Amino acid sequence: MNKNSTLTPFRFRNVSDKLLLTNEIGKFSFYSDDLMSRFYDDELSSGEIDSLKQQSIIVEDSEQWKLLSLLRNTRNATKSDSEKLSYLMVIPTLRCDLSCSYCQVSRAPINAKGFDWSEDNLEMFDGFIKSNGSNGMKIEFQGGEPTLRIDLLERIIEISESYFTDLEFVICTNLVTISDDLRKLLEKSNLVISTSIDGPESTMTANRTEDTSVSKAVIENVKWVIDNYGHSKLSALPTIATDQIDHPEKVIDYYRSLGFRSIFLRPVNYQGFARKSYKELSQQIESWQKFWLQAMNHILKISKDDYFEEFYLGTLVRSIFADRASGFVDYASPANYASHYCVIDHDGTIFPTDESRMLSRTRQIDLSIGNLEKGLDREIISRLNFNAIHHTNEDCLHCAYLPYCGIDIIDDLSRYERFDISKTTSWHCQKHIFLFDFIFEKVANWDVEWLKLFNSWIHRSQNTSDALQIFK
Amino acid sequence: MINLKLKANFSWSGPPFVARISNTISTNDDLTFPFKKDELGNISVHYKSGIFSFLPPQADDFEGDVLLCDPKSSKIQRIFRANSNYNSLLMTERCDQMCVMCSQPPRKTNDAWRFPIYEQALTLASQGATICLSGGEPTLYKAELFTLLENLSSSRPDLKIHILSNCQHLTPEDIPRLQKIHESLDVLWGIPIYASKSEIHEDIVDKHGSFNILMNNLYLLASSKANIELRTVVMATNSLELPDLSKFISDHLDFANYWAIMALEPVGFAKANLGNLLYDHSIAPQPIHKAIDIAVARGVDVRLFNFPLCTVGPQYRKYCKQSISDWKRKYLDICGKCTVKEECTGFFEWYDERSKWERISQL
Repeated sequence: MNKNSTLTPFRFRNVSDKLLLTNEIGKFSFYSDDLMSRFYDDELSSGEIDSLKQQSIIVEDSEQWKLLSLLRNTRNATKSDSEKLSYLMVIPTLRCDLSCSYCQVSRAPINAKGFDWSEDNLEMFDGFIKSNGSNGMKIEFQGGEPTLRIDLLERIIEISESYFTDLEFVICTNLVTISDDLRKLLEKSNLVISTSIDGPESTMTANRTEDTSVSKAVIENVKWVIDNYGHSKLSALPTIATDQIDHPEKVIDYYRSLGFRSIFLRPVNYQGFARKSYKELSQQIESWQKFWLQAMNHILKISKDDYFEEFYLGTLVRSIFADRASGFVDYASPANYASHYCVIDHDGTIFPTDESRMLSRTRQIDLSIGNLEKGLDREIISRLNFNAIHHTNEDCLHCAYLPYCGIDIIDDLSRYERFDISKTTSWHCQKHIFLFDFIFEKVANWDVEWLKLFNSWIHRSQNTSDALQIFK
Repeated sequence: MINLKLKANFSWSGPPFVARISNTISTNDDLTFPFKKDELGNISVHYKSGIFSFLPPQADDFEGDVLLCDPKSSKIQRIFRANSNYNSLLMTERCDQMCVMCSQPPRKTNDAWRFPIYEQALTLASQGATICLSGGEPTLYKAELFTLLENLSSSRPDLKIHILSNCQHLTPEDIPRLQKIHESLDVLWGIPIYASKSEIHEDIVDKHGSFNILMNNLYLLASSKANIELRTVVMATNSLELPDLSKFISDHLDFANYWAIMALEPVGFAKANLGNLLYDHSIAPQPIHKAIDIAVARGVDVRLFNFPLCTVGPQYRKYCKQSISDWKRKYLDICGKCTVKEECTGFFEWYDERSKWERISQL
């Protein structure tokens, strides 16, 4: 290196038989694995120096723009653009007419009292969104089963419409029944349905309904929504429990048979009822990884003919290579809890994420950050946020994947009852290292088959020019 | 082709001047004059120093046009045509770069007369008009240019000014002045970048060290809250680099308003160097398609200038803009029955057998 240049921070990791170098903003390149020893002995080849320059790791004095570009991109990657809420999850009732084995929220029985939004809540909600809402608003109705209280949904929608024109609604429903009132709501073009489909009838019965006739009804209802409103009206999520863990092809093929182009493969969370009923499964990363790899190979095979995406891997691929924010609050860093999103529970208590609602419900820890009556408690929020920044965490600081990764202190709390654990041993870290290694191995080995699949996810279409330079 | 330079007869001799000819505009300025058209099509104007007249080579509407008149050489130039959106001013023919495809090859012109005359002309431009200031390199006359922009920002803040510059001559001291201009006048800076590799870019512009100056100055320019258009002419020498350039722009120049990928204009140096420069994207559009895909995936607003619709893949046609100026635009015989001719930019007047693209078709 000559004297007229600057060295900027970078991180490295062995991937396949190469050395991956990433800089502060995630610009990456691969080198031979003995690079670092030669780096400090000043024995780099001119090709390696060129590559380091291209990565803005070596910056010549005449290239001030590279430092400005680094600064600008670093700022863009870490800034929180607003303190106004644009996405609310609302729990009008915690009661549910199903009793799923893995229920993460520990739902209340159908006839229980005191688990629904009160009149007072509605009134305070009006004031809350008036003072905390941003220009537009997305409202997701969760539960319990929110369609048990369509009357509340209607009123919440009505209140929101009095403040915002740019509105989106999502009803997360088990789709056991589609009442006439729900049918009416479905007519709204800015309202969609999100539901759980774990697989064919037998899986649905084992995991969720305990009753074949109810499973049949759910599947009929899913098809009814798709037939009447198209696929854009309904998204579905599977939860992978014991019954499915050895057969990823089954749930994927079932989703395809329903016409879905994407699936979000999620393991059972270590939360709510699942902590007891799936004690081992929810903690075993190996069985999840085996399932996941088998699933990916199946998706690769499918994609020879048809577009198909695993949503979470697709999200990571897009955020690494296409620079799109993932939008998951439990994945970002800094997490910026309550900066644009929060959860309002059935009793008006406010939580930073849905998972923190679940932890509080099972009385592991109180993670509430306010309530409709008193508003948001900025002091508690900043205390949480202070610990939800991987850039300052000693375990994350040196990780080559830091620019692409997030931090999830809520999941740490759930699994380990504290978040000052060694992050490298955490579920969150192991899961993501595994996924990042998977992605970067394909790039390191220039595995064209996989890169073409990733590229189709970036464009959400197979009809592209295969511009694989995006992975350079 | 619309001829912009016409022969004219003047009843007197004197220095060049600007005049607007109109029979409908009522104004107090002393630069607007009524005109008459006789049965032969001759247009005559009673200017304050005498009468001048010219015979338009083709029928056109001259109402509201701004003319640059030079009695000594018996010529007039229609610098602003009131019925056109494509009006530009040549600020100088001097340039410090020597781009291999330059459509306006540099010459050492005497430019002192231009700025006062052009400023007068600009005050006469139609309400809300877009005027392109081109060259040569306009920022070789930075002091005059900035003063012109400052004057316009108070006299004609309605105008939209599009400056074509190589961005080699800005200094940090210019920034406060430029920022003030950008706050009150709509200025778009069109800046060429030909490749992400400095060697390739510098070979094309024939100026050693220009790439880092360009990049440093783009950051300077952006810090003055400038609107920036990045322009890349596609040639045989840089076409395969387009996907990399796309990635580079998304990494480092995402503050630009948009990126224009431009088909070659086969005139000037480009015409002389056609053998080395012509890239037939109609038979090999992949680098352009890939560049667009990367740009779109990474959030860069990308546009295709000078690309006839039939020469790019169907899903990329929506990026094609009508970029070729009306006065130098033409359509081919084959375009006659094309159903999308109205939306198509067509071809440059100078497009011919030598600069031909193989796959031209009716859509």
